[in-house]
Amino acid sequence: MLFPTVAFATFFCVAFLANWLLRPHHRLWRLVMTLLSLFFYGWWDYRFVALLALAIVLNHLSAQAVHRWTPGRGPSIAGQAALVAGITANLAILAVFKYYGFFVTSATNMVNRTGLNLAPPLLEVTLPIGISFYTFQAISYIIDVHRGTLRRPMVFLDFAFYLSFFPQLVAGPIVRATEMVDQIRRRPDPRSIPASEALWLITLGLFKKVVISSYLAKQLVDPVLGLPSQHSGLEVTAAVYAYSIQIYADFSGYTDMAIGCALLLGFRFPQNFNAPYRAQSVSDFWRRWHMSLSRWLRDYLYLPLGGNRGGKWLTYRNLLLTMLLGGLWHGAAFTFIVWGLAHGLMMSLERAMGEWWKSLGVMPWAIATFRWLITFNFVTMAWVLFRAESLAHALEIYQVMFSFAAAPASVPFVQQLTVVAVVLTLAAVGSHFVPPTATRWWRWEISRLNPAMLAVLLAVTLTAADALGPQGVAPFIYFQF
Amino acid sequence: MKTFLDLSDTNAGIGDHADRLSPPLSDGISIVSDYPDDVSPDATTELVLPSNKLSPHDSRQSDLQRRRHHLGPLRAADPANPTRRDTASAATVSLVMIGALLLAALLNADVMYREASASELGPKRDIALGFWGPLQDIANDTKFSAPRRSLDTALGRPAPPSEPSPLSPPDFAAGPASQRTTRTTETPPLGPTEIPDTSSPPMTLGSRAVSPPTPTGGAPRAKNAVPRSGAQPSTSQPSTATSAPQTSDPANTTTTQPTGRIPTASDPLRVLVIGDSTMDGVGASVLRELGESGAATAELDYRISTGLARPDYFDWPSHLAALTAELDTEVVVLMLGANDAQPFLVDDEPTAYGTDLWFSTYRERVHDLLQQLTDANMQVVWIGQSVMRDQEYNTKMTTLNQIFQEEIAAFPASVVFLDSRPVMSDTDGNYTTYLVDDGGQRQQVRRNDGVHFTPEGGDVLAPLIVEAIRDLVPLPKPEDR
Repeated sequence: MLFPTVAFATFFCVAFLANWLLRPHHRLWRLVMTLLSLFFYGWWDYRFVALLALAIVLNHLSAQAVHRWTPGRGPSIAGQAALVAGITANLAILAVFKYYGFFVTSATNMVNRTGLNLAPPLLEVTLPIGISFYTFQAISYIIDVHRGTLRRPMVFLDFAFYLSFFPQLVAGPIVRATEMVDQIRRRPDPRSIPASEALWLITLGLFKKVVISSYLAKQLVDPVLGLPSQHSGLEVTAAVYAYSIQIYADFSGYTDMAIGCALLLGFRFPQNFNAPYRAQSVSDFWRRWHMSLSRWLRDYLYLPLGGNRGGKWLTYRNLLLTMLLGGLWHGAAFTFIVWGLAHGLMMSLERAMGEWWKSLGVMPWAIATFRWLITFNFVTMAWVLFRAESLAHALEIYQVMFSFAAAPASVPFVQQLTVVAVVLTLAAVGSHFVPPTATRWWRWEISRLNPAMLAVLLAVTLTAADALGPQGVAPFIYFQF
Repeated sequence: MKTFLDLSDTNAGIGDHADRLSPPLSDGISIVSDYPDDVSPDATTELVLPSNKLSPHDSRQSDLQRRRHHLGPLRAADPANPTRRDTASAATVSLVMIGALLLAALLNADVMYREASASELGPKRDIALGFWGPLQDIANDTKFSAPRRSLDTALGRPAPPSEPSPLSPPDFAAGPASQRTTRTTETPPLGPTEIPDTSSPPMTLGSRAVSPPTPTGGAPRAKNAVPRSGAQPSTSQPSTATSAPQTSDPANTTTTQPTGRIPTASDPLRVLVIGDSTMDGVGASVLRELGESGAATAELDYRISTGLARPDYFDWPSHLAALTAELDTEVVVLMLGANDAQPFLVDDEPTAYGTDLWFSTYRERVHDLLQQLTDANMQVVWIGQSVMRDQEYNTKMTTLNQIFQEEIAAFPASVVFLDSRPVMSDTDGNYTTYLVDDGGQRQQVRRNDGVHFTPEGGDVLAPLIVEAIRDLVPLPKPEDR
């Protein structure tokens, strides 16, 4: 079920009560919460539950094997083999559901260009929601057991609880086992829930998703970027910037709601966004955008590849490879590969150039503004690849933006662009520069309200969000990964 | 010397080894107790802390610290009194949540009732109506529904009907909604509560934008048919086609009757493209293809989860009457039916698909719609349902296609049936997700749900649709220009 729905609100009330009432009964609590999470997942398609259950069992067994065959902290061939088998199994499941069609189609098209005519069988499977997220969590878990970061594998119920935990199941943050194991074992004080912070995050996320993201999508982004050639360069440019905000509001809104829900249940997830459009470099952007994914890519891909310890060229190679695979993680399409590569190239370029501006002797604020402009615009231009249906579609958008192709004279300058959309886009960019402490006073005031007033405020907020948003909730962009 | 995994920089990004630490994960959550081993004998997992910075739960802490440990500074403390916390007990939070939900339910009872009534006939819907119906009565009696109505009015949206209509839409085809971000992946299926009645603002081609059709008092159930204005471009003004480039086309453009006249760039053919969510992948391609003819303006208006089965949910005949009159439409391209193989009410009696009464009623509706359009001098291209992956569903759609064809036969001069099955199936006439294009490239033409079209699929259908229009109107070909 999607977060901003009545079904989820009802489900969450039940889960909340079950969580706190059963928390003293550790075994029962984990069992019931795991079942609730499976129910949450099965709401989309009951067949998904079998897949998640398979992932839980498979990774539990892998971790046990890895642990058993890795004596002490030393490496062992059996332990390595168990690790490789576990990772391969996870990647194989992901490959079947997510990448099979893409790779087989691309490969046969390439081969058929040489004159052959292959037609391999193609699976037609539904992509299970969130599979990329929980597969990555499972992989990090067995690697952590192998590395000894987790001294022992989690017990089965702990692991089942962790991997299926519904706030983070379908769209992250990618929480690691090391971050959850203690939180599962230790019972938080039911008299002291960070409620105002949690409710603040949930309402903020709701507004980001239901109001900002949906409005921009329906008003400007979808109609214009769906048919770029029928809109003016001005509108396409505005839509591209609006998309930059849409995807941020969409994904960070989901994360806010996820973190808020987890807080109410007594869990604190790692932060996933830290004002990403404030970044002064693309590397900085990745320290602020989908932080739990960047962290994952760094620890389980970039560093094992050698990180930056192998010299200049190896570092570039590692950056490119990491970002390319990071791009592919987002979806099985060439657009994502090019998007990842673009980010990798930009990061390599930044690394190669170093802190060149220091020798210029220009005012620091001017440098900072310049770097911010470059970064923000690069990231926004790259999002076009993320949004486009194909590379040709992306090219079409770029062409209209930069007016390589003259728009038909009959296309009016403004069809979809509204003042509200422009203001919303600018305000959302501006909001990145508001320090997070600015909301502190507001949150404190909320926490001082008596419960009845708080309930009224919450009800009014829910109503306002529903009224301001379009009817129905557009799917979250990040659900498809 | 850095190790492969250096957890001391958990917050650093890829290609970056020095950044500040992530905040303690359990920040703000206080701990009552660990689960002692006798409560949780299987809780044997231990977290090895490579640095004691990752988690504050260091096993070396004293018991006292462990039992009552506020982990780090709280996010929001009273600025004047830092010892006060913005926390609440689980009991308070559950009261606030349940209270807020009940109040929100009352405030939004109208909207919720309408959404419930818009689900498929069956026990689920009965239960939902049984819940929301009385609540709506209470809300109306106590004036709780007034604020939402005022809000909707202030936002320029039609208030939900106070007298609920008893029906709903379906949902085979409620797939990709208005998000066009889906590639080879799957968007989450929309649940009944997420069915928007407006999928996106009408896309425009050429020189004018659609302004929202206004509710017409005379039109039956017009309230239900009015799109939410939030989806409408607020700046769009129906401008005239005068900005179209004047060409020296010698063709006679004075004919006002659609039949026989040759559309030109200065007097383009006015086409309206409508449908349910299956039009999502196709509409943009049709608009593009028509645009290339240089002598047509087209509007796209598709509504997901709609059809002819549930006029109580979305009344296409009334909507079309208003829209075509406003646009002075000459040709209507439509694709409806994917959602229609479901029960509907005939004289307040639920009538199951497959019964004689169902078929005769549906047949009548198809006939009436065609009669309405042709009476208004419009010509119609009716796109039949394509091959569907699900066998049972495919059989139903085949039956509907037969009804469409038989009813269309009564209007030989002004309605064409376009059968998409021959081009959309494999060599044996079966469903296929992939087709090989002229260049030998394998393209995914259907979405993974086995129902909807991808943009590539739209590109396959669009030329056929435009050819079908040429069967009715002498629309110039691009090469004739």
